[in-house]
Amino acid sequence: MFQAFFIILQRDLTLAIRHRAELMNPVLFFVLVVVLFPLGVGAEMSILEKIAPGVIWIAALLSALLSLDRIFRTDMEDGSLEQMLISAQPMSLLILAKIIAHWMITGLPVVLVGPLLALFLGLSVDGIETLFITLLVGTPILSAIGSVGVALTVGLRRGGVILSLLVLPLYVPVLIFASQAVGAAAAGFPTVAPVAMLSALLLLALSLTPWAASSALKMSVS
Amino acid sequence: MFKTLPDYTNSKTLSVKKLSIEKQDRWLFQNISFELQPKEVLHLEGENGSGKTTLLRALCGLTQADEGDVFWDDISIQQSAYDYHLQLSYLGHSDGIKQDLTVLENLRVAMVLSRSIYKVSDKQILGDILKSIGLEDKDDTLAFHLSAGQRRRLAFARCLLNDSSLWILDEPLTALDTKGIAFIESAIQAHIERGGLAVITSHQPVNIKNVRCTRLNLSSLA
Repeated sequence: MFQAFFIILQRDLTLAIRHRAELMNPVLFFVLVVVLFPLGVGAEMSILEKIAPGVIWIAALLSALLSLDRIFRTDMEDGSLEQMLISAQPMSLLILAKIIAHWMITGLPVVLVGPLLALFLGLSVDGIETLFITLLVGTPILSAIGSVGVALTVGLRRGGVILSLLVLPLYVPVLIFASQAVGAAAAGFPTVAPVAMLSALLLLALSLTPWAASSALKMSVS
Repeated sequence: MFKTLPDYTNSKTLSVKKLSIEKQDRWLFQNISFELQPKEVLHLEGENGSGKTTLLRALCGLTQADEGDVFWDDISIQQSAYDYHLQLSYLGHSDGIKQDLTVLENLRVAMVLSRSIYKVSDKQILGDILKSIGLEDKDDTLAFHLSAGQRRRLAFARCLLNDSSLWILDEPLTALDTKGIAFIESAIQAHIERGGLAVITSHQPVNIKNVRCTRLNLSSLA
């Protein structure tokens, strides 16, 4: 059973590495959006520092949204998804592997680059530390929730718009708690509560979304 | 390689009871019932668009039937999905092959998903399987560089990976050369002789000797 988990994880990572251009796309988008903000808002440090948590988190959210479709779309097109559904392995476990692979491909680079960009925006050291933690805990939630949205829309020929409308409201709690935590840390307040909420959301998402996505896929495929 | 294999131990009866499927407000077919015993082949016939692929997908449990159900050993396949999937090999309309993985990588993923009776690390058996499908010197080639016929052979190799007693083959002979056709025919024959069942659609004649072959024409039922 765990062999199935690892082989799907390995398969998706191998595929991503062989498509380097697509691999760079989400993180490049993330960097570009954040870099554009000082140009648009002006280079006044006090303003940038104040909006930094929100800017970075919104960029992370949009870059996750941009790459979501890939979780199941290509598998659907080449018939791999059918083979996974009729395989003698639990589908939710295979989906969990796909969620984690998607996070490693799109989320992890954002987690690593985000704190660097925060430095450019003048966020305090405490703020950067908390930003790193929230990104680390929060971005997997984006992949997990997104997998359900993609599973529901992958059967439609143009599911892009519906996917955004479906998934964005569910991303809002993550955005609120994460930027609140970073803002509080930058102002010198404790951040335990929002970070704990984020962690709870992560556990909830990782334990529930594979099942939901699995049921949704069965509907989308039929 | 087929000669040495023992008979299947859990070959059961596949029965379809009053199966009806609707597509776009039109009955694709209604009240189809049949029973397939071990050592029997069912050859589905019918014009393009008569619902052959849909019926095969319903037999796999991929498409939900609007009425009626499919039974494996008198248990609905919805209830015994896991046991059923262990016994099932499905060669679909699309090959289910990742273009950016090598032949060997594709085969390994398929082995794990189908809970193959062979070990993923068993080079001997992988070599034998590749040789039997005529891809022995292509193990490190990306599937992208294979021809359509070679890809079809690779997809068919899934049937040889585990001891599945039910083969559901959707146009297994498309894009194959005479040698490939002969190979698949002999593989199906060996499969039936071992006590297996097969459901096939094909616009080309499938020559399997000494085997009870039932024909079902979907066009005439509509």
